[in-house]
Amino acid sequence: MNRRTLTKLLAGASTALAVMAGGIASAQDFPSETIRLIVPYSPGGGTDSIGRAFALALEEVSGQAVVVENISGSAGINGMLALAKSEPNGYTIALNGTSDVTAPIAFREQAPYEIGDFACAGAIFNTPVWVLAHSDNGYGSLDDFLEDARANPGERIMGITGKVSATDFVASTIKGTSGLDFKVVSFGGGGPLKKAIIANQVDAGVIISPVLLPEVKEGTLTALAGAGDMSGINHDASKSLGHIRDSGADIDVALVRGIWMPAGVDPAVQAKMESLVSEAIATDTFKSFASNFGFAPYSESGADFCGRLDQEVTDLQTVLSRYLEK
Amino acid sequence: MLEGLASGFIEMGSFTNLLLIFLGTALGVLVGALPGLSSPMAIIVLLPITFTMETLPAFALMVGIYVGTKLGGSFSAILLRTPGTPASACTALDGYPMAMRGEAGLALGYATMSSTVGGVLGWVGAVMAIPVIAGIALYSAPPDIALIGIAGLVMVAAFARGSIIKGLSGVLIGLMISSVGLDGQDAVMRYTFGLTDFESGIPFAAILVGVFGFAVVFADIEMTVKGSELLTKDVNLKVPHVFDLLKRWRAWSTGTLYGLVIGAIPGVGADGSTWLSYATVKNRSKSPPPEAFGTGVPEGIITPESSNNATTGGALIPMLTLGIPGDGSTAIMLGAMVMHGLTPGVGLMRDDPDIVFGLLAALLIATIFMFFIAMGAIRGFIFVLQRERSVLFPFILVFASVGAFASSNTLFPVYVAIAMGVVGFLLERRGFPVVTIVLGAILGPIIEYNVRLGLALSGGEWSTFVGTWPRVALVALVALLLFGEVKNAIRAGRNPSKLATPSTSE
Repeated sequence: MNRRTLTKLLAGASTALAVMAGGIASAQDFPSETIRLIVPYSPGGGTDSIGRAFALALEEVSGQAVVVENISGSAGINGMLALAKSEPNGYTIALNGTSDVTAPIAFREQAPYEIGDFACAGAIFNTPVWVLAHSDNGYGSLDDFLEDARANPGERIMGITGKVSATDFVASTIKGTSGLDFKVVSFGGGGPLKKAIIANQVDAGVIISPVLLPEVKEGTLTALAGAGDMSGINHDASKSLGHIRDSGADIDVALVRGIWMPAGVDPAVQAKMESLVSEAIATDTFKSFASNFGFAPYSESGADFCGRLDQEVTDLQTVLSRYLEK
Repeated sequence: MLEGLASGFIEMGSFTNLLLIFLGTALGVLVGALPGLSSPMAIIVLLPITFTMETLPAFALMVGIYVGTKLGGSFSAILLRTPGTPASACTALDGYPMAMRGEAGLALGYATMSSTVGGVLGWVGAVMAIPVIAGIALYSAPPDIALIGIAGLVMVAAFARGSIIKGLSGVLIGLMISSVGLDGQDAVMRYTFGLTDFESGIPFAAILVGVFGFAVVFADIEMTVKGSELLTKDVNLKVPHVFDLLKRWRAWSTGTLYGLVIGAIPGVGADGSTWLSYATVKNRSKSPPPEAFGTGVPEGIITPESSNNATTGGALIPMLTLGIPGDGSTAIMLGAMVMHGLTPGVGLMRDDPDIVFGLLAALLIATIFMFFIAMGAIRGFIFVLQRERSVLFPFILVFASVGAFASSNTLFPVYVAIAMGVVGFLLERRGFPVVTIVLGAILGPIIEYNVRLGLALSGGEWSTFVGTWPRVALVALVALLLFGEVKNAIRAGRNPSKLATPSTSE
């Protein structure tokens, strides 16, 4: 063994030791440095605002600075890939919805990542998809819309945020189970659809609650049905909103947003992050954000949050093959 | 209404608020001037600080940044031919040639004065016509927006100096670039070659810093190799007189009107309004003749500059009254409202009128501050021109790369910027106007998205594009523009000596 190899070997060994030491230290007094929170979308949207409010709350309970980093593009895939590639030391986490992570696995021939690439630190919001219409249209419930669609085949339009998205599943399932002829039009984003619903350019719109709640409270828009448990919404009349199941579409579709970590993170660190997440969403900071946002926070363990994923992939593929027009 | 505005001004008149608006505007001018760094980024970086502030001061700071960047971007467009923001790309057309002639003081002065005029008039127009502006934002349906985009594309000849064929080729390249990625209607991958990075399309920020920033550096490397020299030998610090601006009223009134109306349309905004107003003013100009545009005429700076600042009023009104953001910065401000315990949307004006009027007051104050800050800073900015090129270029490259990276916090846009720099450089050498690529890349997605959405909503009926009177008017406008272009092309073909200005590299 020559000297250069020996030096290399020693250097390697000391690096390994340092890493191990760092690992031990991080498990004990985690977190002891700045936490990076990846938001896989551009600034300004719903998930971004939630991320910023959550970062404030996490700073409060962890005593560490939390920096939000928007890694946008490819419908959230870029941000999740960045998380998967990051060092699993607990200092890089991401905020995203379960269906946003499972959709690329369910619908692509070559999945960009696997479920096994991630670990979970718990949910923070569980907001069902809901169906809205402009109050001028006079619908009181989803059945009213369907009745109208029956009377005018091919005429009525239901707007969705994007093809093969959570809102598409709801619209396509309603269309498939009712067997009615109405148009499902993708607006390629929540912003444009929001505008079209307010301007009454679509007869009904499917969007994730509580988006457009102020307009529903105001009376400009009417909520027709929800695709899940609406009891967390900050509007008494909408808490008891009918389920789309009442009109025959027996599925629950919600956006469950939670905190993700890269796979391979030390279980002790993951457990610590999990308790920080549940503490953070219980802070007054986060609660007051949530009441403004329009929906109560939702607590769920990391195991339960991750446990949704496999079933979701199966469900998505079922809906796709059964109802979605390709 | 007037009472509300008056109390808004009183609220914003406090020392702290004025100071914050001033700091925000100064920071905005600086951030805007750095290629690639944009107003949404600056606001995002300052967001955590604003959470600890009272609501109005927080928005005073944000509005300041928003207004300042609109002008700051033009400073680098004029001095370095590298627009600091997409909204200032059009200003480079006449601003840079003017600076090259040694009239940088005039160019920057015109930019500052017309931005202020556009900002102030746009503000007055927006406030006086709140329901109209809000209505434009809300009821502009996909077919209307598509037709506006098409009208813009037809005006391409305005940017194609020398050869219309080369101009059209540039637009086609831009359109092709913009068709890459996941298509929003049918979720089909187009030209992605299985690469995840291409799915969200070729990032526009990267195209911009590529064909301007990188290409400029590549083009000037030749010169640097031959020995360092200054960008220009004599720099005239003379700034324009108010009278010089007043007599060019056509330019700033057109720019302001376009900015105000188009700024209110979500998804088009300042990036589109500058080009449309520039083309309109150029085509209708008698003195200077249309051919002189692009060689450094004041009108070529005044029009886009008044336009991009007028969009601030156009974009803020729908954000405040409907909760519909006109552009990236207003989208982030909407998010910030929720963090501050406000509920943006139709109820904001009724529930928190102090915030709405305070914000509107801040917008006007920031525009006026911008004038004084920029006028004072012109001398400092011109200092840039007196550096040697070899000193400047590393800075442009660094800022352009950082700007591309920051657009999505990934490396992919940086590679795109470098590639586009090479493409832009080669095309420019062959006499292709690269601005037409940018024009195609801006308008392409707007047109495609809205044409397809319009058709989807109408069930495939093309008659939707003439379904309302405004649409009939827009279609007539497009037809008229096309007719004018064809007529000009034929006349130019018969009489080659009258053909525009000679292209620089041929």
